[in-house]
Amino acid sequence: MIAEPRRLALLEAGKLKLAAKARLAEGGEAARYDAAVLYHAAARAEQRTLLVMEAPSPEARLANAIERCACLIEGFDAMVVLEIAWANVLIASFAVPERAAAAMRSRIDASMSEFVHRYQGVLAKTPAFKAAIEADDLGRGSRSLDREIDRFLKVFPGDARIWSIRSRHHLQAGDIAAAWKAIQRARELMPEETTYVGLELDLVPKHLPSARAEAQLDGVYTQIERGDANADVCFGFVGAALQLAQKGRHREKLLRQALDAAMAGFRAAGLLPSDRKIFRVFELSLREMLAGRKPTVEILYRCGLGSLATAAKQADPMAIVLSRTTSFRRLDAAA
Amino acid sequence: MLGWNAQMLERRCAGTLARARRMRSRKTADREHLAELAAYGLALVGISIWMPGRRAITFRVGLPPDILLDDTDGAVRGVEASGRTSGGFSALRIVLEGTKESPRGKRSQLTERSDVVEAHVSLWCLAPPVSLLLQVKP
Repeated sequence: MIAEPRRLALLEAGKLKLAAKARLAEGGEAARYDAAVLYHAAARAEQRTLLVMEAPSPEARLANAIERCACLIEGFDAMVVLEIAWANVLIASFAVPERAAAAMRSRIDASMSEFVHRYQGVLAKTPAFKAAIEADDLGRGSRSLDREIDRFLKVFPGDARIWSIRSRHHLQAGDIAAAWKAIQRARELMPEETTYVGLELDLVPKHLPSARAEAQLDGVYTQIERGDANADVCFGFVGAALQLAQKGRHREKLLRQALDAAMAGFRAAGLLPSDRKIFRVFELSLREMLAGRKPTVEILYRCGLGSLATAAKQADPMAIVLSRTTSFRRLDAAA
Repeated sequence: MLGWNAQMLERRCAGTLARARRMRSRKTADREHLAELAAYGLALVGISIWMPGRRAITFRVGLPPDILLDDTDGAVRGVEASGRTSGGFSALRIVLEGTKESPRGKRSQLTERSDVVEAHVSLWCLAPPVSLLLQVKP
């Protein structure tokens, strides 16, 4: 007898996988991306089927890891398969007798081998992209790199991380509409990933009309007030609120909300090494602005980011930090 | 011979005819999914006709069987489905039993699984039209 929550999660996962397969069979330009979105949703539903199980056996854990990995392979998501999903299969395999694990993995092992081969094939044809991935330096776009990223996304349209990077590069090139479309793709594929929420927030004031942008920020601010927002969301919120405040709409309210977000970000768990310094720069700068004074680069020195102050051509500490931050909220020393 | 009423299907699920038209007309790199999708459909028909009272609870893409009838931990029951566009019965036999060079067919993949207690295989070929539904475990 299967418990009702599990039965419903299984049903949802099954329907999503069938819908994805039907979308692929239907064809058309967006078929692979649409199918990838459905397969990602199926992978999340599969995860729920395990979460609602009472004391799952090691075999059930392995079966679930295999199924989630298979969904992401079918969902053309190179980064998540290679960095997370396959690792989960290998880890779950250790808890199962070798013979049983081999029998369960017969299909996924072949799929994974073919997937890695396909990934290597694409990287061989995209040398600039390959070099940027290996150097972990995808922050800055260029025409040749972006051409190769587009080529990669044709083969792996389910890779949310690469869509978010492409969005950043579109933004650097001044194409706001394309940046918005690309970040929406990343968000559709992985709505639970807050990094993409933060990146989307940065684009909200640039892409949406002011009233709509402010309404969206108000919605996110309730999360911050509740203490539910993490550093990604707080970071995106500060940048977005500042942009809107500069447009002159409800400046005082937006700056106060940004100050709350900066302080919430400072307190958030799971911060990256430079996060506390960045959020402290935001907080001190916003306090100065709310007091009617202009923040100076002195704030950067006080927060331990003096090296950014010496290299900067401008005097606004928040603008310096925001301009030197890469897609994934790391300070870009090479910029 | 299996048949269906297209207009009635359209009434039950709007958009079916347009989707079928797109599947037939569009050129896509992913056309192999058509045979797979048809195999799932035929397996579901087989389940409803020859396994009265049994219901498909979900589909799997990563490990056999493809269609689960029962997902009890350690006692999985299901139907593995596969489709071929050509080759007839001999192609289906290879799917089921494997070849001399690669002997791991669907049957052995399912029988050697300790967590699977009941398994059926539903195989289908477009031309010549052949289909099989057989129980391979226990």
